[in-house]
Amino acid sequence: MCSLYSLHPIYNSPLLYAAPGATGIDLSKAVKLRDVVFRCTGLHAEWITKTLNTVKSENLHSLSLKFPRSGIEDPVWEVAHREWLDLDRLLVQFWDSHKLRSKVIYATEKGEKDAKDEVAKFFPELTRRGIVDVLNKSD
Amino acid sequence: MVIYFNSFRISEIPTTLSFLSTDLKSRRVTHYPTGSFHRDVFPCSVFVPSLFLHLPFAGQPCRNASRALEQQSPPTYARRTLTETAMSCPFPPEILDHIIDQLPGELTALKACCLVSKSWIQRARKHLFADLSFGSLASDLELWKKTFPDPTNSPAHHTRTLFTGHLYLIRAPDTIFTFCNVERLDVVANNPWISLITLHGSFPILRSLRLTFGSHPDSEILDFICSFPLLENLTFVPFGHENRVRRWNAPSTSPQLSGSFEIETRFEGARSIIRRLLDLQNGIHFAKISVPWLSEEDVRSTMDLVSGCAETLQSINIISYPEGVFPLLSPPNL
Repeated sequence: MCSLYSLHPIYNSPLLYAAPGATGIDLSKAVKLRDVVFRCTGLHAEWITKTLNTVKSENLHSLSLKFPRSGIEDPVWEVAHREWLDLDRLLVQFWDSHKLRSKVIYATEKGEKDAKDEVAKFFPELTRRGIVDVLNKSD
Repeated sequence: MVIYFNSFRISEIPTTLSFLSTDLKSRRVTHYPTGSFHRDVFPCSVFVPSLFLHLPFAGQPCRNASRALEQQSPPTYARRTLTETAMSCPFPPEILDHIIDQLPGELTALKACCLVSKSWIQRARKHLFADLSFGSLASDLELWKKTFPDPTNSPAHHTRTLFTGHLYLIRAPDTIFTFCNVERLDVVANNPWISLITLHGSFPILRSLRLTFGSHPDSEILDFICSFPLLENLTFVPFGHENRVRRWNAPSTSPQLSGSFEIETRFEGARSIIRRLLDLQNGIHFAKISVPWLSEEDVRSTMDLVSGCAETLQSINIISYPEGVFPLLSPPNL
């Protein structure tokens, strides 16, 4: 029997399919880790948060997140909102402890201001404190 | 002699010199032999024709260029002196080499250089054949052998990056060994009936391997990888399903595998090979890992890789696809 959720076009979006590795991977042994790049093609961010929580390297130099696409509609976005807020808090901690600025690479055909507005939905605290670099895909 | 190429006005360079890259106009070439003239003494319009008289040109276009430039400037004592000096003093070959070295990737210009003089050919070929691609047609190889029938005299030793779209190259072992300086190899092994054994050790200084494979036994892929002792960077483009290793005797020596490891499509088809690489005597020491996740098994394979490279890993790049959403063969470049 299928649930009502699965019948709704929004909740049936492929973007909301479970991402593999929801528990993340353990990077604690990689003590020389300098650069981390995560690319999401779906909306779930839990795996990123859990993976970053394991990073023990003191050499971490850059942290980049690549977003799936632009123009994510609000009803779809709200489903995974909490996961992104958790990630936002973690990245703020990275700034406080390591002074590590996060880099968000965002594929959009909109103007720079619209791109930053959309990123602000994902990372409200990072944006408010001005500790995130938003780059267009072509940069 | 000091030559400032960026001091030439474009309008002073006639179209007959088009074989020189436009890049030259913004580059500076400096050479200090015991020459006696300086650009500050002779204006550009005098210097340019003299420059071409210094060169051992055989081509008519260059003689035309020199003549055309001479006509543009009034005859002066300085120019006559330069011309006389030029006739008795050949232009230093280092400068010729330096000029041609400014043209990597400019295939049209490099081809034209080959036609200018015999003394230009070797240097032009160095760049012309640095990046060589054999397509998927057997005729490509036939054309190569027809053009360069004597393997000892072919420009194959200039090749640093070699792409072979099919394994036809394997059928010409007398040709393979001439590509002895290849550092980056891109192989599409899409025919299981053609064994990779012939290529073992054919590229003694190979450092980067990009391997597209689908139906060869994993043991054959592993033997192939292990036949390159200096191999640092490995890129897998697996297609098709896993062809598990049942019995494989790992060689006593193993490649360095200390650069980057990348999977461009899916883990599936490469998992078994990765497990075997982890069991190599020297292990793996990649500094950079780039992998896609499409399933929980991919995540486990990534954890194995990270554990194997824990002491050397500096960069990790993960692309996560929602389960059930399969990317195209070539993932987007974002």
